[in-house]
Amino acid sequence: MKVPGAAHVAKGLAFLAAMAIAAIVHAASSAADSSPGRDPGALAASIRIDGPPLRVPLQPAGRGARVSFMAEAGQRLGFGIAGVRFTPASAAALVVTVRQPDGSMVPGTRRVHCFAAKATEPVCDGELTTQQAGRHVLEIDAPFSAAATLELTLSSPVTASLQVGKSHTIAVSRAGQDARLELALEPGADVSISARSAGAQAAGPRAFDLRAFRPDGSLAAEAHGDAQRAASLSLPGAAGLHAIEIDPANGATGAFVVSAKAGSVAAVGGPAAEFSVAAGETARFAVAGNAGQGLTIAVQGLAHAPDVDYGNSVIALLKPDGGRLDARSCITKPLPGLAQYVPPCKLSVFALPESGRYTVTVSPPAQAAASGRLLLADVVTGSLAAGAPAKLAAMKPAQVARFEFTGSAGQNVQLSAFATVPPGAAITLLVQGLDGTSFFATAAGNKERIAMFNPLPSAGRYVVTVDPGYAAIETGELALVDGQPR
Amino acid sequence: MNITAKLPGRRGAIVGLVAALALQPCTLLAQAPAPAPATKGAPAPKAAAPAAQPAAPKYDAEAFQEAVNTIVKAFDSGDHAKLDSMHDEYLELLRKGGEGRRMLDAFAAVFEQYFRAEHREQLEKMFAAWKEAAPQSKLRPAAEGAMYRAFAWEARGAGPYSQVPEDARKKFRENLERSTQVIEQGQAQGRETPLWYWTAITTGGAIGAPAAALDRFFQEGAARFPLYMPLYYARITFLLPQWGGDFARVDSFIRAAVARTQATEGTTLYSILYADVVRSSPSADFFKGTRASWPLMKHALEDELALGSGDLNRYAAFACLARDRDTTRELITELGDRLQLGSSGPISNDACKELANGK
Repeated sequence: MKVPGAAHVAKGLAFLAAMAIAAIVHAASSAADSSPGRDPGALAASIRIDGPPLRVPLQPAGRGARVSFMAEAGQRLGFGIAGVRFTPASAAALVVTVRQPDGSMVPGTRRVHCFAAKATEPVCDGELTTQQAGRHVLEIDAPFSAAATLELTLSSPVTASLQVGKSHTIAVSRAGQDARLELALEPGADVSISARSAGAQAAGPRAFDLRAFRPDGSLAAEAHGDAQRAASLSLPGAAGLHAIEIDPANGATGAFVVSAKAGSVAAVGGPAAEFSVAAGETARFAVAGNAGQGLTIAVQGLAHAPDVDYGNSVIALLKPDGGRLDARSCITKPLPGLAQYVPPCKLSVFALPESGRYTVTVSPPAQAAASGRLLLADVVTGSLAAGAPAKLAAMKPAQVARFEFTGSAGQNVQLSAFATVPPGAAITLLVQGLDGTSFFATAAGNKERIAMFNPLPSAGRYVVTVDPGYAAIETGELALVDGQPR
Repeated sequence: MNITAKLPGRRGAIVGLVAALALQPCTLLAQAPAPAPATKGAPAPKAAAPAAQPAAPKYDAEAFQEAVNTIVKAFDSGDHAKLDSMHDEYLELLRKGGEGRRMLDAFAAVFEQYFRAEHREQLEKMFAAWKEAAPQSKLRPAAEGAMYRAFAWEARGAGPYSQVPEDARKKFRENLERSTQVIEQGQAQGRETPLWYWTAITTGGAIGAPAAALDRFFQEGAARFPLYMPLYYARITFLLPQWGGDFARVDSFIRAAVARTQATEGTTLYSILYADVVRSSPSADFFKGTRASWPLMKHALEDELALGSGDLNRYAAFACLARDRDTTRELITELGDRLQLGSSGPISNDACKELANGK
């Protein structure tokens, strides 16, 4: 493409030339002609693990740094980069990479981005586990457009031992430093770990990661906490020496309280498991489950201290791999201005996806403790057909019954039962199309003899769920009837 | 007037243009636990928060496309009041910065595609009515100037100027002159929008105005609207070799753009603007044929990631283009099955995997 001849467009040019002459001379004009720094070569320096901080001036603009350090294979290290300042001010980041003696990135590490220091984020940090012995290098790549200053600290973690059934307070005093506690476990042990910022020093967000490493060094579990909420995780299985790591975000320093408790085991159909957890902690129960099994989790007598308005505990069912399968919010009292009814604290999963060790967690509201009784029950299942009612044996409050059936328009699903229904509680009869597109339900209040029904809008496959809520059904019958209920 | 209705495929062309724009997707909101089924007499517990905060508007690709559609509809119906109000709203978003700052680009996207000479009479009537009803419109001079510039290029067509027939050259010149007049006459209010500077540069560059004149428009516009990216794209176009420029001037321009914007954008304009150069001058020897520096590009792409606007596939494509085997391998590993570098050519999934694997 060639530029059309200027002689042909004299009129347009005249305007443009005039505009050019008349244009405002602005403050930034010099920037257009400047050529910010070309690569001036990296600054070479060295630093010692647990030694004094190293001040690194990256001048002129664009100058990076290669800071070397000697390390043994298998060392866990943390680095902190404090007080990053750019001149002129820039939203760019320093890009930090840690290379091992052969020049490759230390396995398991990623590039770390460090912005200019702010009051809320004065330090950026990273950690690594060396795999080779020898001279390692922290590469700091700087933006070409600004000079930078920073202070680098390289630390081994603060170490301590942790015992099941005890708490330990551990203090982190260096920017970028982590804490690491050893925990010896017996075969088959099931332990829950929690960590929280020590109260008196828990100013600001003080976010941190809690990690558990298996005896072979692999990551077993990870959780996140902050000044308001403790982090907790469960540590099942392998016997041997585990490592529990506290990694404060933004290179923060301060004290943390770490505790290890023998995990509770809850049995399906077994007695209620009492729990009481402090603010920020999480109650955990191990549950054995089989693929396809239905499971109902109920919490009775849930109480919060203090019993704050709108406070809710969350019950969750975690899969064997730790991922969340389902969860439900539970309240202890009516929501002011929103609802007068307190639904049962209950969660049902009608088919577990795999066999293995599941975990039930109960997490109280922020800044409140929680207590209650955990009940686990199988889901009662069966089939239902017109003229063939299904008998319901005694159902505990934790249980839920679920029946699939084929119905036709105008038929009714009817529940007749004798039940003990506490004040404020309700039994729920829920009928849903299997495709999930339609549902309707009725509920009954405080009655001894219950009679409930739901008419079907069209022919199709349905599922009916009977949930006693906090009530106990002594005997019951579920029937599919033609026309009006009996 | 409904031009779009008479132009099947016009919307499609604009959609395609929009898809090429680098709007970043919004971060997904974290999923809350599913509420209990709502049963009669058994209401599910509400969320713990007593009152929900109003949701912040999302300025993602979908919102941008919606803006483009609305602008097209407003032109179709001659609703200049709607155009002015949208423009002023988006101009405010640009001034505020943040996610919404790119919404004003929707006007440039429409101006590039919408105007066709076959509807000249209708469009000129619409602009006359707009000028009479809203003589102080900031947008109208830029839009009208862009229209005549579009007519000019439609008449000229692509290809070397020497091969353009004389009658087409004449229409090209006449329309550019008309565009220049509109820009000049509307400059008092036009300077209140970056679109006026954008139209002035794109028209001036097509006329063959001196570089100093284009620089003055750019400097003034960029000083007032430093985050309006089409201004940068427009000026870079006329610094490219195919417009009589060279890559040394392109590089100086891009470095200066970084210096101008780094307080809020870090060095990201380095990668953003060089990505525009790649689109204009695609070449497998990009880093050899231009002054682009892979280490600086890499840092800029890292800045994009750090600032939340990064795209690992674009990063991987540049690493592959720079023949940086280690970085290409790291990014391909990180992307996994999200790798999308294309299916053919030197920058494709297969070619870049071969590089990463040492072939």
